[in-house]
Amino acid sequence: MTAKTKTAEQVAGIGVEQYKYGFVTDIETEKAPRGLNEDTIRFISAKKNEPEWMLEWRLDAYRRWLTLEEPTWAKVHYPRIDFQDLYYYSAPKKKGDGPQSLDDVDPELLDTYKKLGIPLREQEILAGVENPTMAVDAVFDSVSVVTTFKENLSRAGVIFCPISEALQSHPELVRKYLGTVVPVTDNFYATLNAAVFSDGSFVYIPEGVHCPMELSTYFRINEQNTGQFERTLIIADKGAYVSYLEGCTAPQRDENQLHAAVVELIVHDDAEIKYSTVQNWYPGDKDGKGGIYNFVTKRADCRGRNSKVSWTQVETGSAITWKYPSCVLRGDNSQGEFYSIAISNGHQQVDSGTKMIHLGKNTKSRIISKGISAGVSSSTYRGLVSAHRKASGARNYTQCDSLLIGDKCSAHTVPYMETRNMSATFEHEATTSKISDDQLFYCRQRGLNEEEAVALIVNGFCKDVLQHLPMEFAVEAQKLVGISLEGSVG
Amino acid sequence: MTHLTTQGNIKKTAAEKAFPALYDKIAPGLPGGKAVRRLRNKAMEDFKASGLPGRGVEAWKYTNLRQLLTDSYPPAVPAGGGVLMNTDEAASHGAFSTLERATMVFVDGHYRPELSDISAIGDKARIMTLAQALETEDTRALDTLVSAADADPLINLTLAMMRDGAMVSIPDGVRIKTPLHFVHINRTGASCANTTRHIVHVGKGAALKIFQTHAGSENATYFTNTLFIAQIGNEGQLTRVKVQGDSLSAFHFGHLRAELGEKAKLRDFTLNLGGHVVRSEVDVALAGNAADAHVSGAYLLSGKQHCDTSIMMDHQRPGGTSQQQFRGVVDDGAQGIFQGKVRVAPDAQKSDGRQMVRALLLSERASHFAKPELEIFADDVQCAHGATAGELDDEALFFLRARGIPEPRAKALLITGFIGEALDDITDLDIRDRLEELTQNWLDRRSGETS
Amino acid sequence: MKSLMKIENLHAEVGGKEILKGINLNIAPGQVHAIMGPNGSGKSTLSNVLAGRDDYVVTKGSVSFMGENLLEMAPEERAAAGIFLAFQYPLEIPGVATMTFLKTAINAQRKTRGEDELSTPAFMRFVREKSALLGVKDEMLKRPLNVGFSGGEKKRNEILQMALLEPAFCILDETDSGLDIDALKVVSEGVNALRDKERSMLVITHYQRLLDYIVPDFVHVLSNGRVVRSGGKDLALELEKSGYAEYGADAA
Ligand SMILES: Nc1ncnc2c1ncn2[C@@H]1O[C@H](COP(=O)(O)OP(=O)(O)OP(=O)(O)O)[C@@H](O)[C@H]1O
Ligand SMILES: [Mg+2]
Repeated sequence: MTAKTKTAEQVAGIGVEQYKYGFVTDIETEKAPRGLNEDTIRFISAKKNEPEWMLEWRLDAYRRWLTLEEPTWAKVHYPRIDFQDLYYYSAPKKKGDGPQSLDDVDPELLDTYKKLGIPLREQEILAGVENPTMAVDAVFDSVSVVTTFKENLSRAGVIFCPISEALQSHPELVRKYLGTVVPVTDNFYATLNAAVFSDGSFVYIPEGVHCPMELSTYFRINEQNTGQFERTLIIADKGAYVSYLEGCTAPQRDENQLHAAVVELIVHDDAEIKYSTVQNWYPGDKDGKGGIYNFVTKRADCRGRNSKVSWTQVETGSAITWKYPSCVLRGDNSQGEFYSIAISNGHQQVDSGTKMIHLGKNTKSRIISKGISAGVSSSTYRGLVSAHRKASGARNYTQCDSLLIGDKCSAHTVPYMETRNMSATFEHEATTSKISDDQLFYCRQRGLNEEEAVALIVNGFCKDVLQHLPMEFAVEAQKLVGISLEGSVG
Repeated sequence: MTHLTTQGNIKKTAAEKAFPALYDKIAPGLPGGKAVRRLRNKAMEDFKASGLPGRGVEAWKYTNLRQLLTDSYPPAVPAGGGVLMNTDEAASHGAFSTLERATMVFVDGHYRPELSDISAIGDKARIMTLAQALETEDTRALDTLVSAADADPLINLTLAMMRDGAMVSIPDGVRIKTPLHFVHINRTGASCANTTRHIVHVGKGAALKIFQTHAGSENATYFTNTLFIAQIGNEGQLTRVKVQGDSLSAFHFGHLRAELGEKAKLRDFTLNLGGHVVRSEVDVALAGNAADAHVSGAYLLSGKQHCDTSIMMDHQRPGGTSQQQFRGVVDDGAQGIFQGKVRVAPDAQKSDGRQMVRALLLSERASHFAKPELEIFADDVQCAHGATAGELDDEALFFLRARGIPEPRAKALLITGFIGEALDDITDLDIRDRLEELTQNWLDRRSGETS
Repeated sequence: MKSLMKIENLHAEVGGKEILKGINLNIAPGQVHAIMGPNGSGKSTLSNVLAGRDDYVVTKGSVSFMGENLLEMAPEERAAAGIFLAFQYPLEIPGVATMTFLKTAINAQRKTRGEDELSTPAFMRFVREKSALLGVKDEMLKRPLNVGFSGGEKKRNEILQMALLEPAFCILDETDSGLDIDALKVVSEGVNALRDKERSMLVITHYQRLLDYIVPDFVHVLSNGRVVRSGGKDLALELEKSGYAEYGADAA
């Protein structure tokens, strides 16, 4: 057997066993009854003590959802989801009502996050570093359990809290922006999310404020048969700046779990949002059993002149990923960026990409996508770049590279380029190939074993994307790239 | 976001109703015995079930025929006989009339022996018309018809309503020097639908060169639908150069479907100039090891033309190489579309697939849509595509003008150069000259209009 | 005679074609052997076989290295055991900084040999020192490995790696081609600095000029997959004059 086929086989045989975040937290929970109907929605809304308009909004979405059909155009295959067999709300039981202080949070939960490498006790964080650079919102199943450094942030005027809390404290802001980027009618999963979303983060950066810390949300699905439907809303007012990170993990379970999130970003004049994701949901076992269905709608509305959004994602987890973080470049001179690494191994299926909709003048966008498929996985880049009539001077550059490891996996590239303005300039390049035998041999001649050689070459292949992640995340992501493809030791 | 594959429950458009009605009317007069009739009936039933491609049909994403074919086609049935105007004939032989070649002329979809001349090929090849083949129930023709069955509504229409076409077979090892020219002429007058199918077999190690031209009387409205089926044996070679110069009010559907044996070669070039709504489709199956296909073309569009080029390059066996090279120039309110797919099957290791499409927009109202696609199921491959869209390079334009070349001339030069990149595979200089001349004519006409 | 590497009746195929047709070479510690021979005679094939490249199939013969059966080892095991190949055409690895690559390689080998990994500062000092000697600029070390390097820069980078890895057995496959006159000197000095009584070298070249700098103990002529003549360093001079015609090949 040649070393090359050996690598492929070994890489294929691993991945999922290495999943380090597969433990379950044993905690008492409160759930909505299984299944979905108007009462489920009333239950969720009541739990959150929501204003009447919010309930109406949800019910509206639900009624519309009933008329929709599940989309089938993506290159992913999975058995039909029985939406009546899911729990739509699950929250760790808490003592008493009202917002909780850290002391009220079940220590079991705090330990869970600690185990995931996310300390939530401020004193612990402060013990570790002199100047904390990151504030965390921890979302556990359907609710946010704690948000750190809220005080520090509010001194700068930054609002960073669970969206359920924002509905209480800043209802006018939520009402003004919610659903204005991803309308209730957008697509099957987004509509479902609008009906049943339980929690997520809310961020508002006021005019002229450069957010003093990185904001981060850590999503954890714990409960069995539970869908997680979080909703994130981030608003950068004029001249504001924020860097937001999200991380995701879930226990190792035999059944598939649904995660259908919606993220809306609103960027005003001269403002900028940098949104980074390291998605490491449980991918399922080596036979393709279990794993998260990650069906996510993420969109940014660059409303203001000179506004800017940059999406960076490292997708290594989930059994199925269906996600297209997009930018609507409405403001003149606005800019959108999409940097993506998608690694699929085992039986994973990824259909991901972006949409860059150029509406304003001199808008610019840039797409760098790196797909790596191993095992029997399949990975698809799907992207749309369009320039509308008025988007004079629009520019796009797209580069999509796919790397295949082993002969049982597949990689697909499906870009759409729509130009309705003569002065728009679009450029698209894509390649698909395998790791070159020559490169592998060169590394091995210098003493690296196959696994190390593969990790090194793949990291090099991903370099253009990794360098756009914030420092802390970049290191983690780089390791993750190695782990996801681990197993080539002879 | 529903996905429509069959549209049985949707209200039929006038065109969707007109085709079956027309079929009922003309079917008795169409060539072929019972076996053929059964195939035709089945195809028409399938068409009725699927309707025309509309919204939600991915392969026709940018060409919604339910919308574009608003009128009912066709109200009249052409006889195919009668006098042919000299101008029509000259126009349709067009660019290639000065080159040595054999000709098969189809007027409104009927073969016209008195206008054709295949003596230059003589008995080196077996040539007959499709009508003859169908009448005599030629087994090869029937087999090909059966094996080419497809769910595509337009292909079903060609099967149901085919009237004539060329049936050419080149024996193993025979390399024919003289090009064979399929001349399609569509006449002025009542709008009509004409449907042809060409079936070309190139034997092992054999070679053939084909010109295919389409022309119609100015402003005549008609619907023309041609399926060209090519089977190229091991180490055989087929070259096709197609020039589509149909009337600017015409609907043109032209489809080449080629299957390549081991080490077989295909060189295909299409220049799309005419037509109101055009779908120019090439499907290549690299069915033998180390097959090699280059498919290229250019489209020059103005007015309200809508031209959709869709290519499928299917690497089914190892070691195949393919290239796609396309250039589009879009003026006025025209729409150019390019969809191209490179597919590599699981066992087709060492495949090399390349694709490049570049579009030039010359007007504020022009649009271009590109969907270059890679679908790769094997790992040891080299596949790449590139796509660009934009206007003429300002700097290059300025440079030329600074050298004293007036703007229209400078623009024409740049556009000619741009199109030239797609002509790289055409090694025969005579043919290349003719194609460049056609490009030049288009540019002259354009600058004549603007100046 | 004590032997570091012993090649006996080595036959090897590439892509089903026999290229090496019975090579015999015995290299003692500290010796430098030069191999010359016409294009396509199998010189690079020999070096690839010794380094353990996948698609090179040994059909007959043996190679022992420090008393071990070299042919049974994986490429990285050979590297850790001390075999170093300076490639005729060094590979580019996009996105991987040269510095990162060097560190990964050194530490991988140390790990295999059961040694501690080098700390970052110690490593940096080590690299700076060696790269200064070879005239490799700091800026180059930050760039992705060999990407956009000129031909000569790539070759220097190979010798830098050799200097850092301190192998027991160095194979230099046409390291001189692509080097300018000054670089040839610098690189040769780098190689000579590594010469000691334990370390052996196999120097493949087309030009006697390199052998003026790196003076070999033996010169072998490889033709059509066999060593057709062996001699002292003067053989190189002779070949420079007469070419390979008498060895049954077109003039090189
Ligand atoms: N993968 C392969 N398949 C078939 N033949 C090969 C392959 N690789 C090398 N060869 C052939 O093996 C022969 C020896 O090649 P090699 O590279 O060893 O020559 P060389 O002596 O190093 O030549 P040069 O002086 O030009 O570097 C050549 O004829 C070459 O074409
Ligand atoms: Mg060589």
